[in-house]
Amino acid sequence: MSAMNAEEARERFGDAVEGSLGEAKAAFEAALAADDALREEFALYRQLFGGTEPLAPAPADAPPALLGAVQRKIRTRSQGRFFKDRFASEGAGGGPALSLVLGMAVLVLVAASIVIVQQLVIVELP
Amino acid sequence: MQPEESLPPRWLEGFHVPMEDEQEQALIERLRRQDEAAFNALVRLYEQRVFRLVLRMLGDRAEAEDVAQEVFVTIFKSIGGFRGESKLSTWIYRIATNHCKNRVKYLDRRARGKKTELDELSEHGAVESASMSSSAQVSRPDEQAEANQIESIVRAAIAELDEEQRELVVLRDVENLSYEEIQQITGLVEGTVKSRLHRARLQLMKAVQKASEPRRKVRA
Repeated sequence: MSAMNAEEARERFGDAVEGSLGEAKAAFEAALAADDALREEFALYRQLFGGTEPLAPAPADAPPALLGAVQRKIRTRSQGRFFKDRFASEGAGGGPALSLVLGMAVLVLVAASIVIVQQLVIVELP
Repeated sequence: MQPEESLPPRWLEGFHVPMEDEQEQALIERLRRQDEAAFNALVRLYEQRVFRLVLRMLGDRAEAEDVAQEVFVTIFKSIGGFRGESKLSTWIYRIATNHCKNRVKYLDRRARGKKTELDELSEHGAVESASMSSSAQVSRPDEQAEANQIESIVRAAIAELDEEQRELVVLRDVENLSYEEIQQITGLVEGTVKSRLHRARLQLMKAVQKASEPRRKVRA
């Protein structure tokens, strides 16, 4: 077993926490045993990078509106080809089907009103 | 806009969504056909993972929100070019890290531009106060509240790493990816990944040691 100095041992911290020291394990442990500061350093390294828990997970969740924001961007950039908003008029040229339906509804209402008025007039006339 | 599909439960740990190969292939095929419901499901599956990654890489919530949106827009646009040589999640990861790198470069350029402008103004005597501080140096209130916690110290230390080192620490130590996956994402060889990661970790450890010293002294 060839001796390992502190700097060499420090270079192997990563291998040590991942269990891939191989034949160097004994020399690494001997280097730690001989140096209190190095041992303390390795303990911190293992605490930070040797666990199964992720290091410092992000403190926040994704915003709930992320999907909507993505859909809006795609709709805008595809000029309305994808993720169409059924409730938006999308400018003067947009929503022709909706305009047609509304127009027909207005016509029906007007026609119905005329018929009702005519009926009233006929009823009231002597 | 199509309604969202019912989603499988969320797996919050790790970036990879556990999914059978056939299931993933079917999802990819639907995405290639630009199936909006499939895309909605993909966003729901990956939004936490992508957001967490970009937040960790950028360290700024507003920027992270915008970049996370751009990542999904890119996925929608580019899914036709996904050749299936890696897992879908690895491909998404690559898009996310590339977006982060580009945003970091943009923000650096903008910060340098602002600094130059301010320097010029200062030289001409237009700015009297010499106590200008960058917004990036101002801690957020929640970080101040957590300042005595090791996680907060680590987060701050990660943000201080240079871009290449930060990427590797986030991929390996925050997202727990394998070296093979990291190589696929970054295009680096294993030796480079390991040596850069090692340097980054030592730097992080020093930052944690330094930040912990005052507390140790108080306890002593």
